[in-house]
Amino acid sequence: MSGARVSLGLRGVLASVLRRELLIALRSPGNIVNPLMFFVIAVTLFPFGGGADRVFLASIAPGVVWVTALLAVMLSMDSLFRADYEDGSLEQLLLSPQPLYFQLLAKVLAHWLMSGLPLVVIAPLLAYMLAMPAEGYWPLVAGLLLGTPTLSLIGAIGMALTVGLSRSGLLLAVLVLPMSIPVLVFGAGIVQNALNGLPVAALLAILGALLTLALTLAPLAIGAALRISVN
Amino acid sequence: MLQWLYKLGSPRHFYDMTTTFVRWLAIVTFVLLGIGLVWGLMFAPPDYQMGDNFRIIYIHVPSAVGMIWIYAMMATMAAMHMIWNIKVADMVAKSSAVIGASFAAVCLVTGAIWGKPTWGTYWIWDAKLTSALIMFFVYVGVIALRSAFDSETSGSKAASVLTLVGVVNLPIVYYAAEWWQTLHQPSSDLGGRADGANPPEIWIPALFTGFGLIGLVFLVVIMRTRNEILWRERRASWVQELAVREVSHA
Amino acid sequence: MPDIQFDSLGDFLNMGGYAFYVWTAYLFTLVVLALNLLLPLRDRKRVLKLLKVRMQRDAAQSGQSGLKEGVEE
Repeated sequence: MSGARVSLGLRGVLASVLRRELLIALRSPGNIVNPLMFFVIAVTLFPFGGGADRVFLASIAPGVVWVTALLAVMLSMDSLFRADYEDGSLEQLLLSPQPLYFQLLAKVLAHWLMSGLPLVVIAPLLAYMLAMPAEGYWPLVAGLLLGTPTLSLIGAIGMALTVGLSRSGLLLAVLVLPMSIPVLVFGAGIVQNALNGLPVAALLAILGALLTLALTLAPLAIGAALRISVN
Repeated sequence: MLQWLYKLGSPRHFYDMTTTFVRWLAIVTFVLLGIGLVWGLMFAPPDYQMGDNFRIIYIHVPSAVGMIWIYAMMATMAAMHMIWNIKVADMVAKSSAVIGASFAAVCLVTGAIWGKPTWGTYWIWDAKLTSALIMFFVYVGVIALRSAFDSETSGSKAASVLTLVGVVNLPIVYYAAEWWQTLHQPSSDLGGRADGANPPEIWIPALFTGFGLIGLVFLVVIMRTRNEILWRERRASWVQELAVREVSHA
Repeated sequence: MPDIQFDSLGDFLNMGGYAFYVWTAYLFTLVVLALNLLLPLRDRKRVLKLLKVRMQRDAAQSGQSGLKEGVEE
């Protein structure tokens, strides 16, 4: 690293971090495919466990899709900071003169594009397989679109706190899952409301508010947590 | 006053200043709890609806309130630790987590036991019960995260960050649970709580157990913090002298 | 001062038919709170004892050789 301070500007910082992260992710497609496969396989388990009765499946479909998406996002978190932590580039990130807040935001955004967005796209297919009525599709997708980034941001806090630990998987779940409950409640509630013919706009607004809150505060917590983990 | 607070921030002064205080606090705590429990269990008239089962509220309600306030105390200490790097604040936060989790467990178990004859089941997915359960999970998470670190400093800082994240998150969880409950079932009335509708002979014992449990919280937190001070300051000469003095007595 | 609400000890223990619920709740609370009080008391003794043992060990070691703080926790 040269001593000269190069100011990239906000857009430059966001763009360069995004480009780097997406490039790395595309080179190891497992990071994209694995959460998706987990999502599909875990949803497939429910009919085996609970029976393939279409009425029963339809009644649990919103909850199953949402809970499974939540777990998939959480399990995908390991790829967010782990490699960077091990090869030292996380330290570089923390030391770089560019604003940490936006670098972290770009990192989480890139991670969500690779792991969260595919879940949103495939969710209607799984909903169809679980015999969910068609009125539920758009509310499901809209809810996941607003909810999974929030889950990524919350998960990133947990991951940042535990990245320095050798066995962090279960601990991450213990830390992150209770914090994810509001997103789950409102997300699955949106689908329920839509299926019952109730309005969903207010609940979508709440999910939007949660996302805004997470966008504002989570990068601060992630930054503080990473500084501790790297120390 | 400021001078006094400043001194509390130093481990050695905290230890010295609490040495006699802790004994008095123990006496006051046990007197308050004793009066409250005897009064609540024997003298308070039974509730006209719930009979003698209502006597569980003398521990249930204070533990529910305590569970929330202990978190507030823990979060304040975590913030002081993060902002000013006060070591004693972190030790108090660490000590608060265990008693907080204990209060959450007591709140959940007594609530469930109280609910069986009242609602006909030990558990319903009531907003208050659900939030208490999540609060318990968060306490457990804070304790687990701290103990997962080998380094004391890293564990302290990580636990502080998580505690503060919980401050933002827990109210949201509570309102989410409240909304979610209205979706799934009619709101359940928790019945004759120790509120204004009850006659004083019912709620005065709750004041005694309540203040007694507050005393107990401070007692336990101070005792744990003092142990923590001894351990973290183990290289200091005053701690070593104290160890020689105390152990030879025993 | 209000009156005692129970006629006999058996009546008190019976808690108007709610004995199981009331006493289980109180017993659980008692156990949890007692543990919270007893564990720190035990820890205090342990810490002080450990500190003394370490000091004696350190003193012995520094007397024999320059090795100090040989084993660290």
